[in-house]
Amino acid sequence: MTDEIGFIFKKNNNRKALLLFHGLTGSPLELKQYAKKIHREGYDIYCPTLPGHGQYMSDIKSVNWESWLDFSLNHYLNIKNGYDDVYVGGICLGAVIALAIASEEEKISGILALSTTLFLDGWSIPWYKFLFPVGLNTILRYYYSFQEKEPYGIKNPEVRKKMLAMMKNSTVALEYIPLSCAYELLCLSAYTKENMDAITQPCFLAHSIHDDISSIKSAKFVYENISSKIKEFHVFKDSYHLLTMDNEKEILAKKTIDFLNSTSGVSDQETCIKGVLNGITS
Amino acid sequence: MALLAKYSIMALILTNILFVISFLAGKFIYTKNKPESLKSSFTVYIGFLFGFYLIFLATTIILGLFTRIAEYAALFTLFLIIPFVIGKFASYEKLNFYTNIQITVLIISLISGLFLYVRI
Repeated sequence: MTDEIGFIFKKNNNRKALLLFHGLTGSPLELKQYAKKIHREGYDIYCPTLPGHGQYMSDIKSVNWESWLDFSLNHYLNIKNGYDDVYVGGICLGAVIALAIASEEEKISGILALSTTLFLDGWSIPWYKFLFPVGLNTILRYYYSFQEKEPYGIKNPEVRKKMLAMMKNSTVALEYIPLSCAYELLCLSAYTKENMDAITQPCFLAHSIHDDISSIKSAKFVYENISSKIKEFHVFKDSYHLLTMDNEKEILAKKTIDFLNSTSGVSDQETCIKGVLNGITS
Repeated sequence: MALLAKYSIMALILTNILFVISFLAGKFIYTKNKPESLKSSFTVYIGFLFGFYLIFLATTIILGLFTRIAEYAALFTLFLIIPFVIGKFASYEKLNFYTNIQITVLIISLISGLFLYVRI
């Protein structure tokens, strides 16, 4: 199941797994360090490259949201029988995919939704976003691309420099985000929002209050609309969109591991109701 | 009201002419060797034109309902909706095909606008 950039971390005796999905126009590399920390705690990690995400923008322009969903669901179905617990998670688009899959597959043990992007309303979205209804819903969406600009979803300047260098080699993210991609993401978001109440699995939400791509409204929407009895919502103050690579990545990893360990083997039928709202990190 | 309708149609015609010319110019701008930033900026410009085009279409339709050109309101309503119908069915693989359809619709709406202007 590996591809050139996707990765698998596996140990023979692990009975728990986590299937992770990267962000829009990103790559599995944005989740690698985060995944390694979780793997050390006894979880096999699967992180494939989503369809259309490679070196060339033309690849991603010809992919639709149904392809992303089918691809991700197939990955889950391929691994689920090999483990006692399988979690799904992701960042940005990956978080939306994880939620969509969870709404269809009850047996998923839990969800990690990082920087969930149901709405494109972050502070770095261009000033002419009022033209989006025209741009997204006409053929113009195939002609326009956002150029990735500062801060590239990262608050830490050192990490941002490294990210920029990797982008130039197209190993982490495309330099431009086609508007047609945003359209497919918003279609997937609409689908996921419609089915949000079917989600009953434990859910871990993490979002930065300063997210430059998608405001905290997305994560709040998920928290308020899922039917999960166990849900955690962690708000980060010193990071931007790419939480897994930014200033609070260690805190994020620790909170994730605590969540995974506390929910492993817990069924949603148990009366352990745990809603952590506004868990403000230091 | 008829005078307002006339001004609205005039504005629609001018925007439409600019729109058609810009879409045709796009055939030279949206090529592989042009920088992505140029293509994106040009698309934003076309987006603004599109916005004005839709606004003037809407005002023509509304004013048309109160004047002798009420029957044209239905036709112009089609021109208002068609870009979004094209957008619904468009795909990257058939982009040229759908773009040509869009340009054709714009030319038809331009001709309709000119015809209507003369009639008023």
